[in-house]
Amino acid sequence: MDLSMAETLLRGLGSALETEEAEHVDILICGSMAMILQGVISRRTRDIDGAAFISTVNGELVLSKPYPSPAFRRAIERVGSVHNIQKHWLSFQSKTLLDDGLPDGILERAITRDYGSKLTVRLISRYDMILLKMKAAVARGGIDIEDLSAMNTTQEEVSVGFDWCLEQGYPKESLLEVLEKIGHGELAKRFA
Amino acid sequence: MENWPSDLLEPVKEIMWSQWAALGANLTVEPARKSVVDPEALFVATCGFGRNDARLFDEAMDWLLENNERIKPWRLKRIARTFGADTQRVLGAALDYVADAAGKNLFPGVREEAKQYLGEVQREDLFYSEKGRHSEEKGVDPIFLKWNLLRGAPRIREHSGTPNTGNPANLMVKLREFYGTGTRADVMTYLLTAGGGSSNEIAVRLKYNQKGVYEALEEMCAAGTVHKYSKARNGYYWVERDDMAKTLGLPVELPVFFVWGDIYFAYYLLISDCIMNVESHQDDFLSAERMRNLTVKIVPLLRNSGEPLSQLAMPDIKRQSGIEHKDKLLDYMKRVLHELRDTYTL
Repeated sequence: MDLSMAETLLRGLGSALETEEAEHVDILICGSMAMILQGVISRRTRDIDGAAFISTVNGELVLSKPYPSPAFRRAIERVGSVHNIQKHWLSFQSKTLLDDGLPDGILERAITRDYGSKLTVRLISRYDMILLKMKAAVARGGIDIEDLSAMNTTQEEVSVGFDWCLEQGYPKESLLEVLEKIGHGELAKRFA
Repeated sequence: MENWPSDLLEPVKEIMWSQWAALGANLTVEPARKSVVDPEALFVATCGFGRNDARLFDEAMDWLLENNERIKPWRLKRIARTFGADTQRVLGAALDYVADAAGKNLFPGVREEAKQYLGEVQREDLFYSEKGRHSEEKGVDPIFLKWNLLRGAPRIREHSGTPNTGNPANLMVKLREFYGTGTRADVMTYLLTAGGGSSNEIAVRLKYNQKGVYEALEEMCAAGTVHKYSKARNGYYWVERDDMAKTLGLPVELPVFFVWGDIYFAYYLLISDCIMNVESHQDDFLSAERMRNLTVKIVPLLRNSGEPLSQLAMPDIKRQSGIEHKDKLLDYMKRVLHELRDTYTL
């Protein structure tokens, strides 16, 4: 799925929700698609990752685990059918991110887009993406390393990520390895 | 509104005009010659599409006033049920008007069945182009008003003729004159023009009930005019076409059989969907979704409506995405119309 397809699918989902007896849905999108949709990187992904639902409680935005209502699921499936793609094109496999902890202020920094009156999508910012990608790179490597390299990160950005991952309890050795792999060897030596 | 509904409607109406001309309506267009005209399907379809064309509608009523004995009421009823409540109500009104003009109790059963939909509808203009024109009851036709349809006085000039039975397209009408109004005429029309089939297959395509068709086939088998190859449960019936055509004094070149009721219904489904769901068709996703769902209904209808149509490449929803559902379906519908109008009408 590329940028154009993702935009088409989200617009379709917004239209489908308008015709369903569905509540307004507000989702936090993480993963590579959040960057693709912001034009930070250009590649294809299998799906769009919904990390959390967002609601307003006492005037404040609150993140919650994404448990889609039947109407929302139906709308996702309708869009999948029309575009002949897997019905889990909008997946919620990243919901564990919420358990692991998301960076403070992630919602304030997110880019908000509305697709009709019943769908709001928040794309995590570059700042938060680097933090989460560094965490993922420690665990998985591979595509997350490639994404971090493609993002042309600055020393300031990865330094913040390094500190945040350490706070989250990730091993220093592994983080240094990630820094080296993404072209920040100098920084890795400094932090070693 | 988008242009594609009128891009499809115009050629559909051209075919209908040609078929009405073949049946004897007083028109200057070239009569259809190459495919069998089905009078009941044509009249029902005119009640559906005629809402876009007052002249077509009134010429059909004019023809029916002169030729009502040629029409099989229960077949009208059966075909109209497919088109749905809206068309059934218009049909009821048109038949009511013709019955009144003829001073006879014509088509009572069809009109009675149509009345059941009256309670569900608001009063509205019959013709889409006259929307809002008849806000008062003044000047509107009282018979159509009973059906909650507003229109001025119909232009019935009693100038329609009768079908020219020398025209191959009127084979169904000709054989009804020969065999009488029973089932045999239409069954023979099918066997001569579409080839053979089982009693069920023939009944489905002719919009008859299977039992009646089976009995007619067996009678004709016993008389030696129809042959039967008996499979275990489902006999296959056919005729020696050339011999039978000669016996009946028909031309060597026989017209092609199409299930016109299904063909007209397929176009009615698509065009009326656009008229009824203007907002949805302005949204890329909702329009694509409607087109995908319509493809599932429409393609089998057209594909099974006649041998020539089964040869045309058709849209495949499993290989299409998004807006392609719309583009491919419209392209297919245009190709079908092109085939029907340019190859099998004149």
